[in-house]
Amino acid sequence: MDASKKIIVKISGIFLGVLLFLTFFSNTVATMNLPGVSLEFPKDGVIKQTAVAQTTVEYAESIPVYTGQEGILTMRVREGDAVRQGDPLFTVTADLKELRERSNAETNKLDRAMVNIRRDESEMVFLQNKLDTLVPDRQQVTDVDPPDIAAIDFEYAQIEADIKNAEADYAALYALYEAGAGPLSDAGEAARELESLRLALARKEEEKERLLDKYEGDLAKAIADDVNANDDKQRAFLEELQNTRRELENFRFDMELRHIDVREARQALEILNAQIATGGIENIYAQSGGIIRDIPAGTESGTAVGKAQLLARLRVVNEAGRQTYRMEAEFPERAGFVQAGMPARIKINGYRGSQPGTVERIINRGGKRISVITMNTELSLAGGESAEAAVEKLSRAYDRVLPNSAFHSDDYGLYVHYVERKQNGILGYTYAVMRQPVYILEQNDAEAAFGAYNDIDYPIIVNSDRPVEAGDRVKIVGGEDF
Amino acid sequence: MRVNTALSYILLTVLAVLFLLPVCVILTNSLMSGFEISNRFGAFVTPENFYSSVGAAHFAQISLIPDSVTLTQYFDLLFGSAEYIGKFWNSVLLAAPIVAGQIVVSAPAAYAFEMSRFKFKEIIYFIYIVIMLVPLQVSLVPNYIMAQLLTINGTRLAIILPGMASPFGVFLIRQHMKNLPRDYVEAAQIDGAGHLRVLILIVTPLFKPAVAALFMLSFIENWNLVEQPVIFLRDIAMEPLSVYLSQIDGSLIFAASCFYMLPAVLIFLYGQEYMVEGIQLSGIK
Repeated sequence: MDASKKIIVKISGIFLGVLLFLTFFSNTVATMNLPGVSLEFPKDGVIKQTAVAQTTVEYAESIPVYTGQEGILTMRVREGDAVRQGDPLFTVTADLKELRERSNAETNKLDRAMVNIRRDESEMVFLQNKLDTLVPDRQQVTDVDPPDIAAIDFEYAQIEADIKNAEADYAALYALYEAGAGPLSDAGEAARELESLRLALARKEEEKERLLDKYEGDLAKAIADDVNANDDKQRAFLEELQNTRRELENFRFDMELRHIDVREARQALEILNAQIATGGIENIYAQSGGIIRDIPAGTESGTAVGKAQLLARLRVVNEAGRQTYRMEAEFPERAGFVQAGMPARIKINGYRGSQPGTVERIINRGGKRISVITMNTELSLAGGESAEAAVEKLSRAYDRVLPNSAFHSDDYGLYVHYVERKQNGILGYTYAVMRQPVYILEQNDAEAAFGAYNDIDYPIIVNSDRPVEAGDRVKIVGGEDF
Repeated sequence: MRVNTALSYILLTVLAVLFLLPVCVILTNSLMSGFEISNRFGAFVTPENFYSSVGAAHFAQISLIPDSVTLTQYFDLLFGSAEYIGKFWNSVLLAAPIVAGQIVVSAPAAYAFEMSRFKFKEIIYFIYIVIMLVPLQVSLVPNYIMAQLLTINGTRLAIILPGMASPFGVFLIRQHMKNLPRDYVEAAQIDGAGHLRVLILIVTPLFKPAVAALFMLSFIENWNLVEQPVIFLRDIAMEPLSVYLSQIDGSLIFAASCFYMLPAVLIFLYGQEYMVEGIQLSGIK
């Protein structure tokens, strides 16, 4: 072989060597420089949305405890004590001598009121008789018939009697409630009944006045029309009629006031007599199981207390020993999914774990959407503790869910990058990036459910160490493989 | 005579320059950077300026000397992507079997046409020659139909099998065989050698130049196959370098072309004297 051929053979050998090297290693070298991507296939899943807000715990149910009488206070409980329904809480001891003196004074007041009432009733009878006497005179002048007010008077008297009975019932029921032996609702019913009777009485009075006014009007008209009537005499007659009626009305008004005085005196007397009967001692009992809270400063045994003075608040604890708390939370605007009835988890600062709660309602305050959450728990909180409320919502099941890192957007819209595998003959697989437009169905901070206009049968890029574009070659460094 | 000689040399020089110029352009431009190539060869012709006065945008600025010599084209081509090497081997996988097949098929056929006596030999040979003169495009459709029938459409066999049956190889080798002394053959036959033994042991060593010429010519022809891969192959992963060159990035085309033509050049350089001898001898009779 001559020299030139040897050189050609050597060059050919070098070429073949380079070719083999490139065959086996160029792809490796090229692949080293490619962007590395992690792939995932879209999966079935649900989108969990969580809304978190800071809030302050407040106590929900509490019953104020008031005194029913003046006296000296004896405390049977302290702040924070747990009590059951019916347990004695406080005792107010009144001065028995003073009570008796007051009872006597009220009795005298009642008696005076009754005397005045009887006197006024007599006067009213006289005026009524006078009025009735005037009526026949008027009838001589005209043909106008007086109204039949006897029936109205009868009904009026009946209602008055009913009112008296209702007043007595109310006083008795209220005394029972204050003694802790009866519910407030019964006294309220009695008060409502009393009020309705008084309204009926007033309506009856109005009806009577209306009839009399009509009668006077008709009478005056008739008299005026009568050509043979004596104008002066008629005028004087009418004037007397009106004066008598007015006087009668004034008496009736005074009578109302006196009746009120009588009622008040009777009520006060009943209360005093009840207190005297118990020796001037008022025991205040717990209306419900709970915990004693919010005792005002200065309230202690031996201090003088007045009537209807607040002694404490009884925080209601149900039979299972759980208390209800309430808190208001303003969730972020994007948490519009929070609705009334949804469960919530409350993490109270300083306490381990979280407590279950419920979104009771949504209120609008000052343009803000406030969620009112109630929490029923065994924890004994003072109120005012800071807490974190979280509400979760699970979406429906989707068949395409991916991490948010898989989605990109540009001027043409939202898209994902998927990887197509291509084989380059003897050098194995290469992977090329392709673009697929998509749209988001539901999303949270971590992942999103999406839809696509075409089926995507290839894995989707969820992470890459460099930005990639459609058409780029990539290497797979993580995630799922084909 | 001197004038004639001088004119001959001038003409040959001009022709040589004309023929070598594209190769030189490819070689030198393969040492340019991609940016320089884009500047020289990127044409910004638009419908607006197409009919306007001649400007630089209409023409490429071909140069034999790079502004800066760099091997980035080769590096990007060979290391930046593994596709080029893959396509290179695809070309080898197409050309090598065809060349080998042609030699294996043409040699016995030429031996038969030359050494045997059978009826209609010359007519059949004439048909062979006629087929050799028929353009490739005429036979593409029949080849496609045959490939469909044989269910090899889409595979490399659809290109290799028709390529193996090359009338030119038979013609070239037979022409060379005409110069072989018959005495060797007859002596071997008298000694009891059959045709196959005579072909392999006696005749084949004597027409190495013809085989070499056939090898080179066939390799160069099949290394540059374009139409058959485009028509018969569906998978782009199987396409050869001759087809891939049309899709390659313009900034790498010169390096790609250099690398592409290197095997053919090396083979030609190594066997050029065989080719000359083979073609020469095939014409003597």
